[in-house]
Amino acid sequence: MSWRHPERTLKDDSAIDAEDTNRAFKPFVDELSGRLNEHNFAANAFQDDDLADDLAIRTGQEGVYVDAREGTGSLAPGPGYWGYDADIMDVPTSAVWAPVDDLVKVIEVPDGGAMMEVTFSCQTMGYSHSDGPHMQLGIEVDGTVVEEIVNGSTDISSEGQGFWLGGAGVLVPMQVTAIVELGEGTHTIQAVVRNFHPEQQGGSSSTGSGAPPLRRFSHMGSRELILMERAR
Amino acid sequence: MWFKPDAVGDLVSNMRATAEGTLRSVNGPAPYQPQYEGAATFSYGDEVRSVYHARVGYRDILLAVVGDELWEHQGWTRSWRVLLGPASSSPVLEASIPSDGRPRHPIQFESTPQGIIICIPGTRPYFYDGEHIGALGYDQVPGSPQAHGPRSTQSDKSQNWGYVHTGVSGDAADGAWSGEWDAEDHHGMHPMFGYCRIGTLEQFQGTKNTTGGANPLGGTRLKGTWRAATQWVDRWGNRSPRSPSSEQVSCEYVENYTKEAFSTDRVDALRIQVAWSRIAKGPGQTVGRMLLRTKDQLHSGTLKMFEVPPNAAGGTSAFSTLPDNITDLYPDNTPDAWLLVEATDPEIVRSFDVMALFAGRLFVGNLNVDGRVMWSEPGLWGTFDKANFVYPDPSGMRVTGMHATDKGLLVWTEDNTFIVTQSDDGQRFLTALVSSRVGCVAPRSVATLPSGVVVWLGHEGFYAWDGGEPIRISAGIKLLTDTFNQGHVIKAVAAVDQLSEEYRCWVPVDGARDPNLCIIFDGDGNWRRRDDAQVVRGVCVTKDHRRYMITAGQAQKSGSSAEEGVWVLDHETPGFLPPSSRYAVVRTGWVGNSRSHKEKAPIKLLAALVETTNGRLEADLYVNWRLVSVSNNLLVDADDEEAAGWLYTRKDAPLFWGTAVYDGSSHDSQLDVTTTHTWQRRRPFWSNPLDGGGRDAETYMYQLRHNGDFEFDGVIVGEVFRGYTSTGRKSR
Repeated sequence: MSWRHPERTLKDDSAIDAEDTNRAFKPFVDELSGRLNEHNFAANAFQDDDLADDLAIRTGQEGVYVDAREGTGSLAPGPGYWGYDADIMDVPTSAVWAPVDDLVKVIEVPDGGAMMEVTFSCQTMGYSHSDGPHMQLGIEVDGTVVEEIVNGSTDISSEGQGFWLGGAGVLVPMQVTAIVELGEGTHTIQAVVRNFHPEQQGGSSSTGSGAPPLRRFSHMGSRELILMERAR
Repeated sequence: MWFKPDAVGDLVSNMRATAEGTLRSVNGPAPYQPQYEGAATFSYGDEVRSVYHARVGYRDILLAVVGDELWEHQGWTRSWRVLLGPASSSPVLEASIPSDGRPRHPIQFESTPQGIIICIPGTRPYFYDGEHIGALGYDQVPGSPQAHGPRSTQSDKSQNWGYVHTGVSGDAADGAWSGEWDAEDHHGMHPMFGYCRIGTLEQFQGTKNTTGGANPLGGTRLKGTWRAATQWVDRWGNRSPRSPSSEQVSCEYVENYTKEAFSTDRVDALRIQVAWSRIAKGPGQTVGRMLLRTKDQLHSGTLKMFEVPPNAAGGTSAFSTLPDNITDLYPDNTPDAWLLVEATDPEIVRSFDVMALFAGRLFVGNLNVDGRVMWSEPGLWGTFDKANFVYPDPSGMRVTGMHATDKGLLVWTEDNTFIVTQSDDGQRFLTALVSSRVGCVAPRSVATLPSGVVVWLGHEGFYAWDGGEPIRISAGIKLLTDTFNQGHVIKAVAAVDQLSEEYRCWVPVDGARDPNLCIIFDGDGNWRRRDDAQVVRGVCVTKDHRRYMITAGQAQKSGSSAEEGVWVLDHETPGFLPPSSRYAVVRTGWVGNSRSHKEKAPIKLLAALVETTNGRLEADLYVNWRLVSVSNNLLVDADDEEAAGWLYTRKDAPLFWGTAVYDGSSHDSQLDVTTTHTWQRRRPFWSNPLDGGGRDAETYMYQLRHNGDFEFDGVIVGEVFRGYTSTGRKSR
């Protein structure tokens, strides 16, 4: 709790007055309303040990990190391909939202509810510039996708160009953010994705002698789900 | 006879006007940095002499002067860092702040959009932007640059293409670009730089030149001279004084202009470029150097200096010719035609005693010792052009105060008041005399009431000004103003409270060396006083939503000795309760003083109060002009339920904190009525009558006092007339 200087502290034998009491609480209300200033916060004010006492922002995070440049120096387009990282996620073509591996957060919201900022960011990966990823990202709250903030287009002609990295793959960073208001209770925040590319049907093409067949799916590399709640 | 809160005259002490129009006892003060349970004890360790709050951008900054150090508060870390001070305090910037306690102008702060100006009388001013602190402007002059030009002995050669300065000799060279150094370590300029740009050219008028040769192309370069100077630029845009002019650099007359000699038929080839070396590096917060140069002194028609732009087009980020404080050589290929901005000629920044922001400029007074007033360039608070000064008082009296108003800048000496206004074209400032008999003796006593009236402390008391002649408003408290310690009254400090809209001025009284009594003017002719803070050497009002009035000095917790600190008035924190014992006092004034030749007898007093606490007032009676109570505490035994003086009405008692139960109820056993506890407003009520005793008196006065929470709404006094008339004795 920051410093507060009520006009009058409430003392025994004082006549109770609604206005006096309101003024006594006003510094606290000001603070909870975001009227914070330099004297409430300062650089390095929050130490790990103090967070339990001086909490102002509660955060949650889930993430997977994939370094596409490791190993072969070439982006691995699919399982079985050399240099493939097990944390890379397949995103097969489907109109149905698919949960993103490892990006789910179950939270308990106390009395009074919570307003939370949820950010889902990831590196989408395609096979080539012409077969680049054509994904939509979304955030699902308790099984329902927040439609207003879906990012990514179903128009394949407008995506997938550029962002080359490595010899064969395409990396396109994407991000989606939602402000969600949650009631008291348990809630599940899940990052979801879907892929509309008609040619990415799980077909294969040759990768040259000795290499496993390519599946021309889109994939997802590094990805992260961040929850930020303003709390007291 | 009815006395409302705004009409009780003789004394109102430690009472504060409420929004409802009543007077309520003051509460607090609270330490700005509260001592919470379990936290380490913090001690200021020296006199806290001044305090200032400002909002710079989105940052709040709280500064305090403690002893000979300037501190900045560090928010939640519950600590202060030393911005200015002696080396032993590990300051951000080492500085000497006088702290000998002698009566002198108080330390003053002014906030600007870029930062805070800190005026410390006796030493130089400083500027703090929330991150960097440095001296305000410059108090020294740069050295002049050294000039380099083409070698005139070789004037028959090309002075242009292929001519360059070398970093080795700092000299000029000529010769075409070859990619190789010549024998003198000279290296021709690369063709990509094009032609040189300096020099005045003219059409050749004759057919034969002076040496008999032909000039088939018809171009000549005239002899020319140029000088330059250096000027420092600090991180806030302030300019230093100009350096003295450099020696001149010149070029000779050239008329043998042939294509063979110059490898081109362009007349531009006759032009030259020059170089300036030993460009002085600046002190402190210098971030750039401005190179100033004349145009061709022989042909341009002006000897003025102009700013050399850093590149051909200027640009938004071009704040100086050299945007660094490292290099000392500048190859100058800037033609005269690009010299558009005339150079400023600031004066060095001297120490000053008083300052005020007005018309986008900083006005300062008493530079060094004389009564001169200077003003800065707009927005450049540490740049004072040499020509921008005035002596408001022709007799040269020292300036004792400055204050910006919507009508102009008020400037005081001890005995005069002047006003400085801006001319219609905004380029000049005009001074006019407001009063030749009223001055100001305390520069920090000046404040503007919400009504726009300016109030300050002069020799004879407090004065108010609303655009006409200053009016003395403190005649009614002359006995009090006579107790001011005139030797130290220059230390008086004042501010206007945002909530009560009161003017509060702390002055040293009864021989005190530091301000120890707060005199309050409510803007309607009424004076009050308070002594809840024992010593107040500095005061400010926070410029954020809190609107705290913060003081620097001493306050006292009951049972402890007074301690130094930064205090929030009219607020409380649990760790500093109860405050020092003090009475909130209201006196009625002398009743019947205009008919004191007719004796009368005070018989009762009815007090209109607002219920505050489960306690009782004390009341005293004075008679016949003597401030010795003839009847201390008129009220009878506190256990008497019917006695007067209770701070709530016994017939309709309010709920009290500590005994009332939230969501509870109370039961009146006599009426057998149960009342649910609900939130209410504290109600006004009439106290039971106080007994005046009925003693004979020429005039009399009641005093109500309480050491605690007490809210006053007025009194009615009743008396019996004892005098005789032509028709006999009457009572009324």
